[in-house]
Amino acid sequence: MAPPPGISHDSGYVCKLKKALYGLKQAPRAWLEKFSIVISSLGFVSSSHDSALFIKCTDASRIILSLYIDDMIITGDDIDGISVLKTELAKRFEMNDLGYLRYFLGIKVAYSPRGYLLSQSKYVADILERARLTDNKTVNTPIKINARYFSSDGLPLIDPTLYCTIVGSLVYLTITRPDIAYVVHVVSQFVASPTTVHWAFVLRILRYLQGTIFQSLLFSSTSSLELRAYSDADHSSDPTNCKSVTGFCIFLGDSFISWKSKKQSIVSQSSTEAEYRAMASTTKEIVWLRWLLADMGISFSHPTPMYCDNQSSIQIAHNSVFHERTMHIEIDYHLTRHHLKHGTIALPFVPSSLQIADFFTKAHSISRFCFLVGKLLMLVAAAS
Amino acid sequence: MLALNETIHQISCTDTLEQNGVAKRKHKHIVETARSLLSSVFVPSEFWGEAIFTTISLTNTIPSSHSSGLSLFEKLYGYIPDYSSFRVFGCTCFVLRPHVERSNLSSRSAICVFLGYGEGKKRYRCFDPITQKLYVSRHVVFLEHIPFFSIPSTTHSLTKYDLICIDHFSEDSSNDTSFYVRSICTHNSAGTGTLLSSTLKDPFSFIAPQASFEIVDPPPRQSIRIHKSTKLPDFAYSCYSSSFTSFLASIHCIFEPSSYKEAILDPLWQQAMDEELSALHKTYTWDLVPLPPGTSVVGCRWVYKIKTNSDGSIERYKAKLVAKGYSQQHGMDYKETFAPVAKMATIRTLIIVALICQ
Repeated sequence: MAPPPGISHDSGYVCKLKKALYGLKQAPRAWLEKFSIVISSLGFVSSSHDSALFIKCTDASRIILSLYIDDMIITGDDIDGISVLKTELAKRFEMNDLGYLRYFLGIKVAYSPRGYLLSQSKYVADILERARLTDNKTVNTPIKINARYFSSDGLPLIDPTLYCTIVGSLVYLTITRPDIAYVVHVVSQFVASPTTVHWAFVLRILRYLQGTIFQSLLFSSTSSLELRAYSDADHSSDPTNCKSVTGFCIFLGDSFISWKSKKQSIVSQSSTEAEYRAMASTTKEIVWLRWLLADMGISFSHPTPMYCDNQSSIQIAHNSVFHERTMHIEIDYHLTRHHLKHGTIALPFVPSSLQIADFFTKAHSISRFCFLVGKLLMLVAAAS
Repeated sequence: MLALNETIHQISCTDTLEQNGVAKRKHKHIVETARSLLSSVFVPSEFWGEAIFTTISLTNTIPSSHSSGLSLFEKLYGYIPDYSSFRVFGCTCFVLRPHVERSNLSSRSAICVFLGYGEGKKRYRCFDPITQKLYVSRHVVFLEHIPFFSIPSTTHSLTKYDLICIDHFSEDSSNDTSFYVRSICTHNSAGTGTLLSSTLKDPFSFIAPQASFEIVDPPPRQSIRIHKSTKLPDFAYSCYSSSFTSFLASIHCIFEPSSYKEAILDPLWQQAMDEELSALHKTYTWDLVPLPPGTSVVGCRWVYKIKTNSDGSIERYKAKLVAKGYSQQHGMDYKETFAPVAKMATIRTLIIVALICQ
């Protein structure tokens, strides 16, 4: 590295770095290496299902540490062990103990008798300011029902930077706001060449956020520790290339932990096929979560129910008979069959009106939107 | 005359305002706009007359949706009014004193508050509260971002608010634009924000190419010449009064420098850099060696940041040395990268498990 201004050196000499410096490409990796050495000397093992999760497991107790670059959450049932860990870490690194979890990565964690409330209201306010939204108009839903957006709509924006930054911020906001997951998935498809129509759509999302700025995600303290999943697909919803949208959501007890809204990579020939592909990606997530929960000391004896509103895709999963209409479905999508057979998942039927994953596949009317938001246990926290 | 123009003359009953709705509505609009003009830039209400005149000249030249996107001015005269001559109401300005007032040695300009546009000819009405004189002149230098009545007389009354207003004395004109927009947002209470930005028609295209400090020569009446602007690269303190100069100087040390050249002039930043360097030496971060042949050097730079406490007071001056990692090439300078980032689903799961197992 070139010697920094401010130190004396002979000309022609450079700094040979022995340690990583902030800004280098290797810096985060070097940090993880260093941290891993320290943490493994304290008896922690990195989880194979999330490399940033470190677990120390003894017969009686369990301590879990979740790392996000240089922020960490420590939890466990061994209070003495935790304080030992904190003092050991403080010896090796210069760090602050922020006490109980209040803020993590800009997410506010509030405590209430019913459980924890997660919200990013300050972040929403920052986004609104960045977008220079000055009026106070609000809308009830982030997207108009039956709205279709094409990449060729409208005139290209002269300066797409603002669009990109706002959409990027919205992606981060989905951490506690599953209600905008579907619309963010739509707007992020136009980041390459946004137009005025797409910007108007982003503004509508921002207006929706303005009206629901204090909405937060409730993690109930009284719920069980059972996984349940909902899987849904919207067949050929993309107006340009007829690809389908996968939507799934997974609950741990009553609390909402994982969701996805994503365009499928392959065109499906029928709605059954689209549902079947969605089931495969939901299965992957369920399997991962079961492993992760096992790492945290929670194991399941019975299969996880994956609710689906399509009878024929349930039939395909149950029945491995070779069929003319399923012959082109790739082998990897038959993952669902495998896990069904091994008892990892079960496939109960749910009517479409109660299908919660429907929320992540299409635009809804106001009443249906509110019904589904309520199902996700999203509450409006009092301004605090 | 009315009969000649086929107009019927009607008289409303006394004390029955609702019979004259159109005129009353217009009056209300003008008075409300003038009130927000006054309060947004802290102009005392004795200047209400000037504010009303300014309001009228503004509303006449702003395009309106009632007249299909044309301004009243444009409808009457058939050409687009010259928006470039508009200035922010209540801002600070310097007016060239007339010959009779100035001698060879007295100051050539007076610091005034901008109060509106002269009628007919292109000229500005500016008031000097010290001498209680109203100047109507076209030789005016504007500091549009500084509301005249927000300049403190002493530096003791420094508040965070003042900093936001006057913080854009950096010479970087791209910063000025964003500050300008923010100052519009902060100065105007709800409602007037739209008014001022529509005055400028398009605040971005209007402000962007110029520095915030400009000398404007208003165009003569008939021509539609684009106004000249002279960017002054070096900011001279000498054109201000002594109290204002010390005020600017006090802001200057709170400013975060963007380069080593700027920071080395300030002992506070120098100390911060020394601390960082000694910390790096203590951990043996590097060795000084001759450059091996055939290799490239990664640059580095200082980043300066003021760490503030939650109440806004300064906690410490922090200087950080960062490497310019963007010039590194994959395979040559580094092989693998990885950041230990927890998955959000993991974090959510962890919180729930911790909550329920409590």
